[in-house]
Amino acid sequence: MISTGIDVGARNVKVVIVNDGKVVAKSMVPTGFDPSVSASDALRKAIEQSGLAESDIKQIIATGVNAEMTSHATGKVSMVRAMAKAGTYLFPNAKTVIDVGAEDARAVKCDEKGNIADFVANDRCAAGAGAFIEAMTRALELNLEEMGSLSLKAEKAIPMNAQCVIFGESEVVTLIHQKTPKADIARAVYDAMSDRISSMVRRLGINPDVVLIGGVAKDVGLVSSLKSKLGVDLLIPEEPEFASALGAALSSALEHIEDRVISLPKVEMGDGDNGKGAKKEYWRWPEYRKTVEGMDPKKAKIISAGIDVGSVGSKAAVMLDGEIYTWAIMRTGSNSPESATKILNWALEGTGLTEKDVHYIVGTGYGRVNVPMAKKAITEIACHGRGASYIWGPTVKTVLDVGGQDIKAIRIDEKGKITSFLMNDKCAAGTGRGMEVIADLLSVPIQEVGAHSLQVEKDPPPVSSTCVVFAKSESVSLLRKGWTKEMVLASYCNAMSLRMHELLNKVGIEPNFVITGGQSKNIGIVKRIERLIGFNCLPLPQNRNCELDPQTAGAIGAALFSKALYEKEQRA
Amino acid sequence: MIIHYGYQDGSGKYYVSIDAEKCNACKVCIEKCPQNALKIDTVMIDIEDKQVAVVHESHRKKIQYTCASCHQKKEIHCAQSCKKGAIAATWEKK
Repeated sequence: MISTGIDVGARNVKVVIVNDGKVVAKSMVPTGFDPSVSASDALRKAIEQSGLAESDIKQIIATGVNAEMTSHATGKVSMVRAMAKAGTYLFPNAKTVIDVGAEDARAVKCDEKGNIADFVANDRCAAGAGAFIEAMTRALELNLEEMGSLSLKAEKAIPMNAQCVIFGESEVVTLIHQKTPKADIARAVYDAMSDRISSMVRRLGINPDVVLIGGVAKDVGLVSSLKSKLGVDLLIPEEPEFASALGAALSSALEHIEDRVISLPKVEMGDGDNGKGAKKEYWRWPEYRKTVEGMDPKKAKIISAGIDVGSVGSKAAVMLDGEIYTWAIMRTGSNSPESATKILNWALEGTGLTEKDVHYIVGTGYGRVNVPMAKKAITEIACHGRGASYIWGPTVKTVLDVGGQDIKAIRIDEKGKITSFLMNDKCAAGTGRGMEVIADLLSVPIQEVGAHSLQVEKDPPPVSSTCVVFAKSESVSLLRKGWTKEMVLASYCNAMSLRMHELLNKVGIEPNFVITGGQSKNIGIVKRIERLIGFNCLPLPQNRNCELDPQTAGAIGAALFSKALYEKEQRA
Repeated sequence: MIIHYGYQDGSGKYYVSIDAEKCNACKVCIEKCPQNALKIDTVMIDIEDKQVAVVHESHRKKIQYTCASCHQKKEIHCAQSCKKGAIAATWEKK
């Protein structure tokens, strides 16, 4: 009996033809932009290789994330069934089968007969899938094989903080700048990824034998790291990337099959344009400094400063007796202490003041422990809450801070005390960094993203994936469908605003509401959030002698804490 | 001050929320947590430092997995053992 399995994955289409229990042909082609075309192509290649005629192929069972996209299939089998089937066929004692694909990871627990007892899947977040490794190889300028073998030479296990592909890339770049050996970075990447996979698998319990399939199983670095995280040996078939297609082919006997002869359309495969041109930095935003006119630092009793070293931007604010005097914003370099020194010096530039004249300095933000001249480090939550109260006045009740690599939602009571907060720095969705990725993809300068996104008559539905990595692929296919850049940006901003709204709901939303951080300058986000919550953000107060910048709220809050802590110190 | 440890990503929302003002650092939750995910640490409330229960840094970005078994059995040990009612937990898959 001849049966064919086709696994239409996120990256590749795999076909396996089985004749009387023996594999007679295998083929693999990139999924490309049109999975149905690639599926035909892969089928044709496999049939040619098998020496069979097209008319011999009567049963084609499809599986994989894009299984729906192939018109040739006579039946369909779920991904977990295909992987369980393949795992137990290849290794009869298999009790746990793990499949790590390009954009998803799954694990199945099977009984002796190969029936599925339980399964877990992660297909909503690219961390923990092949895409994570792929992105890091780009950052490390290595190919997959190089990275795998290099990681085995690592001397030190260094932790990776990032749990998101987008943040992981920035972290790897920082590690390279810090001259961390590439071997150690490679190992850190694999350890981070296997930590995620093993956390997922542990939900099922780890019952040997454990089988690992999917393209990632060929990566020696990942396999070695995952073995040690799971604490068991892993059985890996030859050509693990074909396992699911094989499982589908083997499932054919189980499925109800409509007997028909297929005919493959003759289609030319395009090679797909990647639009590689000169790289412009669309994400780049302006750095600047400012001194408030008409203030005299010589008359000040307390000079306090706050330094907010964010993941993307560094901000410093200097206050005279609790009133803002100067501030500066620049991009954070790869060295946090250096960025902290630079930004404070820039804020003090031209004022006649130096670091020594400042009575107290508080560090805050992602790099707050790396602010060498700070007497105390305070969480950005407290600083943003206080900074927002300073900028907009004590009536502020809800603050949404959208930074480069995190989103914070903060609730404040009438006394300016924080009553509830959360910080989401696990996922890039909605963050400034995520927005930069889309700006770069669409070649739209970051400051114009918001305005472009509003140039649509009606908001298109939001992109379905909130994961930036998946949303990026989704945006590409929307452009292919003929959507304008404006529509894609609208759809993306829409999805990100929905995410921020959900985070706000967790702490509760009450007017008066304000947005701080870099994304407070993204009109496309601000307008959509206002629409979702049903009321407007407080406008920036005009009664001051100069307009303040919501991106500096954290630094301003830190400078206010500096003053309070200095006074407390003086009293003691 | 309620601190929501955890996150929301494409797969759902997962939080352990601890009220730092109600918490008296009695450590019962720390002993009860089957995943050893809690510890005592310093949290700043206004400008005062206070010792309270917090979620361990290494678990904050994987609450989805850390807290899965408790939520499936509907035995939320941390929240149920807290005499001050200072802990709440959310685990919602999409």
